[in-house]
Amino acid sequence: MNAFAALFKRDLLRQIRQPTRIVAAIATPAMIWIFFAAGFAGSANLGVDASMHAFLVPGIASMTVLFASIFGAISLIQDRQDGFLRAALVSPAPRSAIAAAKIAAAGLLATAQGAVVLLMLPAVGHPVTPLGLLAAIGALACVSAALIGLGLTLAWRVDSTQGYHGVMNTVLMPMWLLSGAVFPVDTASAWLSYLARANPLTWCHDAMRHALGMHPQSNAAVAWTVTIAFALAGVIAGSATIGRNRT
Amino acid sequence: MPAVELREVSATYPGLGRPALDGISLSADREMVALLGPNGSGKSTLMRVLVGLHRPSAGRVVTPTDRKRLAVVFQTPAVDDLLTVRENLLLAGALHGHSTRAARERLGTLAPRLNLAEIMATRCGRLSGGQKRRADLARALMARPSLLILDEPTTGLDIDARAQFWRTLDAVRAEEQLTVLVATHLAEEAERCDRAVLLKLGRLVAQGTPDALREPLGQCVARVDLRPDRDPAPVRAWLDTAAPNARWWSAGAIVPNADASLVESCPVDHATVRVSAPTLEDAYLWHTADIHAEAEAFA
Repeated sequence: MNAFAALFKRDLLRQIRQPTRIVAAIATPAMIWIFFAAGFAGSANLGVDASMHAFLVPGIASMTVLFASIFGAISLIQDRQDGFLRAALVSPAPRSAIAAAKIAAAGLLATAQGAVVLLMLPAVGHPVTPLGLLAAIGALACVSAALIGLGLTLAWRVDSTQGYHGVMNTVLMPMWLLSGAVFPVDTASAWLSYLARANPLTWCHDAMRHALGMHPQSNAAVAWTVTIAFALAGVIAGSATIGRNRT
Repeated sequence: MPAVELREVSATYPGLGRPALDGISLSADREMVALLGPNGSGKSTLMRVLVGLHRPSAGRVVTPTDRKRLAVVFQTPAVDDLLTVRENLLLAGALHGHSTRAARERLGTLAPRLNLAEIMATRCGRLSGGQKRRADLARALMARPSLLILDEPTTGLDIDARAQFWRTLDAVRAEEQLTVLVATHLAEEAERCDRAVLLKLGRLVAQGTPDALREPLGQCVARVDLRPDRDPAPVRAWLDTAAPNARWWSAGAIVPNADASLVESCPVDHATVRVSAPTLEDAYLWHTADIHAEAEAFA
């Protein structure tokens, strides 16, 4: 077994052996989805032809991914504190394999968890084609790669899991809130709309909405280009960070 | 070519105010060498330089040249608590480029040797401190190393577990042609090694076999320990006359070639004078006395 495969398997085993984390990564967004959708159903003017429940699905799926990426980043901090990362870094295994395994394992789980949320769409009255669902899961995989890469990059500079909660609250959650996840960007106030359009996650949500036939607010080619570029940037940033000396 | 060869290696950390390593030259091959020194002496930095985690600011690491046959046991075990011992060892084999078959063969050799057979299927988080240390040693040995680096490997272990760790390491050394570098602040652990390298403030002060390092102290040595709350001047005045060859540091002095009469001649009751056969700790204090004052000024 090569180093990448062994580390990938190890990261998957770690996740599977902590089932509460998987449950938490799905349950929290699911509750937010149910409460937001029920709470705003009668008052929100979406400006698009979709129920509040259906409109929120891409954003809730990416929130699931965000939570999984946060757990992935925290596992990197724990690996460093436990000494496991140091042992991996002094082995002859290439550092790119260490980064790629972490991103791939966390990404696979995050995408699977997000896909569970996407599968809820027919249940809230929004039919999806298998091809559309596959494309949306592809966009979700890009979001996973981007957020996990970004999460690893940020976690590398933080010494404790408590410190990372600060990063989560000041960087990652605002990024999600400003991504058109819970309100349509086009009907928001001008300054907020500009801010949201500068956020790559907004375009990822639009790519998912294109795939799911959910009244996207941008051109499909632009949305997919930004989504793929965001994923590549996350992977490159995460890999480059782990390639540096800091244990 | 020796397994370890350093030439005039220096290293720095931002804000430290002095070199973390100051022109260290060292070589070792198929022997167990202790890097002995207190916290801040440069042991861990030297380890980090050797394994490529810290770039020297000057000098050269001639060997090791790659990480394929290099293994490290850190101060805290680097096994994954959520994986079993077997899973951790197979992972270590994969990280060192061994095929699954080769890793299983190696695991089959190490398990009985390190007394791990019965805990192979146990998750490392459920092991005792001593068992976890042995599992961590096995993790390092999965690399089939020619150079094994141990960074304060018995930290946190009780006396029994510590003794068992050293017995295990001795057994492994007897079976495999290993060069072992042990960073430790415990003189009794350095005593077990073929050679000790004494480090202080990032400098290599002396090196040699434990006997050779003790040799300047003679058959008997006197340790004079001062009480921190009392004036040391009378003790200093007494020793200047009774033992002019004494070497001082802030907490006391060490007198080579001493005899029991020194105890009787001590004029004050706020200093403890003990005469005994010299230990490696005495040798450390003797060899590093000249830079104790500098160290204390720095602290």
